[in-house]
Amino acid sequence: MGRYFCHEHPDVLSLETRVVDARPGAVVLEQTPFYPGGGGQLADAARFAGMAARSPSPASSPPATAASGTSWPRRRSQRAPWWRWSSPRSAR
Amino acid sequence: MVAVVEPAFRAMMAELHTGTHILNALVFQQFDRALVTGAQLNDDATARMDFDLPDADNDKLRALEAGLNDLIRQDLPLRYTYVPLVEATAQHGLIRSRSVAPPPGDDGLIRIVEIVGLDRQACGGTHLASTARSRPLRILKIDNKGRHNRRIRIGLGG
Repeated sequence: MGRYFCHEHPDVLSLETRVVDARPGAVVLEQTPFYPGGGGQLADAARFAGMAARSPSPASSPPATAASGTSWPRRRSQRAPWWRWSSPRSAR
Repeated sequence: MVAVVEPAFRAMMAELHTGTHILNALVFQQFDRALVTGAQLNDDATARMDFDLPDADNDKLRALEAGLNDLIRQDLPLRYTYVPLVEATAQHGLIRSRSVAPPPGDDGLIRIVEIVGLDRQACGGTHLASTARSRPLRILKIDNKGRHNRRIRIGLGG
């Protein structure tokens, strides 16, 4: 278990970042605000906003973090990297 | 691009995860330092925890519900520290799971979640800032799962 961004910044739910790699259906981000799943906790649901989300928007527009009208895909394919890791005994 | 976490889902996971810590703290304290054998938070505001509790009375486990909600009302803060894995494994219960331990980070340290005044245990999840931010919890069901395991299902909301 590394130190996740969400450990250090639990209240930051929107993060501007860069795609460093991509394949169909998946991207690798330079930095991620998402909890990846583990310890019995499900992975965060994620949404990505493109360039438009960074532009100043009129007051009537929903902010980039608004979920209205958006479907949230659940990223739950990844299971706990740390929950399954090893027994306390073998770690000694 | 901007990566956005669904706020409501994260909040519910943090609420449930805090609730499971309160539950396993009470089980640890009141049932001979019993350890956790499994846990799963669900997307329907419920969670289950499995404990190594071969001889426990299910009525006594059910009666933990009042204590859970009392601890929620006390609004205990949560804090995080990082300790060396060797130190964590040397103290019974700091790694609350019976069979697995979170791996340390690159610095050899593991994350400890403390509910101040109640409990400390290794965990990499997300939690509330303090317990009173949680809705009340109900104990929904208790099942015997084999000779050793007792499964407690909890749900958020009155």
